[in-house]
Amino acid sequence: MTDAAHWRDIKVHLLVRYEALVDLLDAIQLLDDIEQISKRIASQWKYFANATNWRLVLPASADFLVIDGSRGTAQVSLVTSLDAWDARNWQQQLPQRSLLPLTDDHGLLPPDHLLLPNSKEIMVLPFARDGICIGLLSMSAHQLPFNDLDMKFIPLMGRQFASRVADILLRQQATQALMERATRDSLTGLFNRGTILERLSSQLALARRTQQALSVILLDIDHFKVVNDTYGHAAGDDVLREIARRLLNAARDGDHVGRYGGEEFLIVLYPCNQAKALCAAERFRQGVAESSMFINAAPPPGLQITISLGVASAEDFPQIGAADLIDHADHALYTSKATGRNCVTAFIATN
Amino acid sequence: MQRYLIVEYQDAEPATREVYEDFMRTTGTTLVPLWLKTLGHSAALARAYWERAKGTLFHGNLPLPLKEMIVFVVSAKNGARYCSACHAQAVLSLDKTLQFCDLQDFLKSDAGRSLPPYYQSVVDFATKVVADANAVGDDDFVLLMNDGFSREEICEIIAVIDMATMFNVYTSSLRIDLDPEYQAIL
Repeated sequence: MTDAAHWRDIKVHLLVRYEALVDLLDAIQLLDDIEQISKRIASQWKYFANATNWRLVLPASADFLVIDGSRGTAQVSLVTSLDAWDARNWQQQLPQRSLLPLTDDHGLLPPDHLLLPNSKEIMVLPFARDGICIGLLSMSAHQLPFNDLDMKFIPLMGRQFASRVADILLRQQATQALMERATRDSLTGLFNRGTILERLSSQLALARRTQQALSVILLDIDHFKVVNDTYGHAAGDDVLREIARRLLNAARDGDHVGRYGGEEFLIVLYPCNQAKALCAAERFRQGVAESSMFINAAPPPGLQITISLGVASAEDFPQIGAADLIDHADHALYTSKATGRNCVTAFIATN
Repeated sequence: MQRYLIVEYQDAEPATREVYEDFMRTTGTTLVPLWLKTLGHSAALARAYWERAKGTLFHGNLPLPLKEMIVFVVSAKNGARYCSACHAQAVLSLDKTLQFCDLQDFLKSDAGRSLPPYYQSVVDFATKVVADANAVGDDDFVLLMNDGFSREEICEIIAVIDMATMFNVYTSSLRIDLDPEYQAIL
């Protein structure tokens, strides 16, 4: 009688289990969004395993992606450091099974959602690919301890899940890296010439549509050639990096800072009128000039580096194009150079 | 006294025929059930009832066997002869190893020995809702949520319970006779 009942039990499960399994495998392959995949898993997993409360931890660059499943749904979060219990398990990377309540775990407790009143057992499963741990799954058994079928289905689905999320993360990282490579200047980390010009064009178009002013600052390092000739190109590179850092420091949200040429930088400010742009330019000038730069080759007290700046605004030239705007800023920059350097000049139209 | 009128497919208006056809297409059967034919005099009502059943049973996140089980249990609790027979048939057709007597036993003993644990908690919840919807407490919800059901899924469970009750009232008050392929369980 017990055998017949057990057999019937399995049969009744089967249809629901297989449907859920197929649905999940489908979703895992077809969906591209980690949160959507996680939510589907959280909702369907209960139909083929004792898997209602779980946590999946995966490495994500320097951080960790933590996916928590409970109450039929999932939450995804990025954390810089793991909880003590997760950290210990991540470090050990060993499978574990322990009945609840936990006896001695050196005071480390699993996350709250794994410790429900009716939780009977905790399982930890690491998943490896090519010898590297790609994910760690912690799961608690609800109402009954894990049975044989659970121990078949949970590792199977867990591995598929972890693998897929790891692949998506990898693709996201690769895309990000490619984007950076394509849009950033490798030495300074600022936008490269092509990208800053593109930004200027799109922001100008936006400015025209919204009828809000846009301004640009073109700036140039004073006597840069002397630095290179005196201390070498490596020192020159250090100076460029330091200037970029100081410019970014002085920049506000929404300012776009780019490396325009060898020693020239272009900053796009929007929305920003001429008066505000002049203030901003002064801020940048001061940010560079106020303290000396310590670079390897130069003796103390370091190098005193200054920049000259030209400011131009589209405020009085509503239909102006990018090239002409930069030209205005260039004229103003020339004036700054001619009047002693380490200063800011605004373009004024002379008709 | 027969309390209802039947509109067969060949006698139905085009709008009603559309509903009959949609039913057959969706369920994959060649026969229109009696309950739908009793609504054939009003295409709007036929469509309304069918759409309610279709949207509840054939869409959403819950597996069909679970939904059929809910409808079966609710119908039995409501003493609905027609619906309990119809959905006993549905449950049996979804699982060939179950027999009619198993379902009878299930109703009598109220024990879910042959069902997965989450079935049991859903059936318990359905029983409570049917007994008195106002008496359902937060802890009843928590029990379901701890079994892994999200709020959306619980809403679907309630929609199934409610749909079953709607059909129970309709078929019971009209005392609709059983279709030939159904066997009375009550």
